[in-house]
Amino acid sequence: MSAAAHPDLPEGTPSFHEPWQARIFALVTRLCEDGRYDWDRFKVLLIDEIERNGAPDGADYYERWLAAAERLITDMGLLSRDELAARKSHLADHPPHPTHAAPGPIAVDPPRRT
Amino acid sequence: MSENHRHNAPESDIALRVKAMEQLLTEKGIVDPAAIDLVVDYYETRVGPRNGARVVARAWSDPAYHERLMQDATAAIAELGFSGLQGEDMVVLENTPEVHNVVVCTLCSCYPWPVLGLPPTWYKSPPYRARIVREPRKVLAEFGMDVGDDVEVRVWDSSAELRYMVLPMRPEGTDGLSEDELAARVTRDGMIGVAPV
Repeated sequence: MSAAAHPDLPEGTPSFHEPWQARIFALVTRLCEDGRYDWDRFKVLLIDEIERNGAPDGADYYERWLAAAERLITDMGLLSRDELAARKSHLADHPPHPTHAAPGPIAVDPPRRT
Repeated sequence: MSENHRHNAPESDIALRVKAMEQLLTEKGIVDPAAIDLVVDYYETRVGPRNGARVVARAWSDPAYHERLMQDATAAIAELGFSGLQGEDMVVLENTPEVHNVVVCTLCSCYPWPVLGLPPTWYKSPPYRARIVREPRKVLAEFGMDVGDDVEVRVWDSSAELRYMVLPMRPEGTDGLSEDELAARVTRDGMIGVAPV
């Protein structure tokens, strides 16, 4: 085990490595705290995802979390697989920040007096 | 977490899946993005092992609190203002010269968020989850913790029903320390049971 068993982060370091991990974590916990579902329902899906598809080193933990969340949301009938897939491809085709380069400031508020 | 705002790097496939879900749930009025922001902020900045360290330091300093903690950990922890999801059914395991406790979740990653924050990566890894049950002394030694041959090692499986936190032994030579000074000595790994304090 060596590396896998040892603390890889100093204490207090956020457990999220990328923003999407925090978003999916928060979505799932928020829906539970809102009483939309019982935690055990998600937990069963998460265990199943980890057992069936989990990486040996556990590095894909939040990917499994997302897969379990997609099953939860679709099982509950909140969204359909088709809706999710369609929105995802729309987002991929329409990035929020198109490639551009701004060589200087994009806005300037000049001094009020000199 | 830093917000890497690289304008021309396309978002990863997985980030798009998450964004699609959040957008659709928001449009249907099922979630409020501001509420999601609050949850993220809460787990990134407000919960973490420092909360558990305060519980441990209080238990070391105040015998009456110690007793309440051992009898009803959830209520005693809530006294200090720590409660919430994954902290509803807490049990505190006290280390003694005879017994050392260590916590795992063999099936997934059950962990007492309000007192310890979110679990470290190794806690969620299959090798830890399997091996701490099979060969706890060896795994503890790999963490740098030598448990004496005369000490019993107990491994506890956290679940959705019960979540464990270890109350480490108070270190020697700390008699005059304040609660704040004691709390500073307590580590996350000490409260999981993979390190001495």
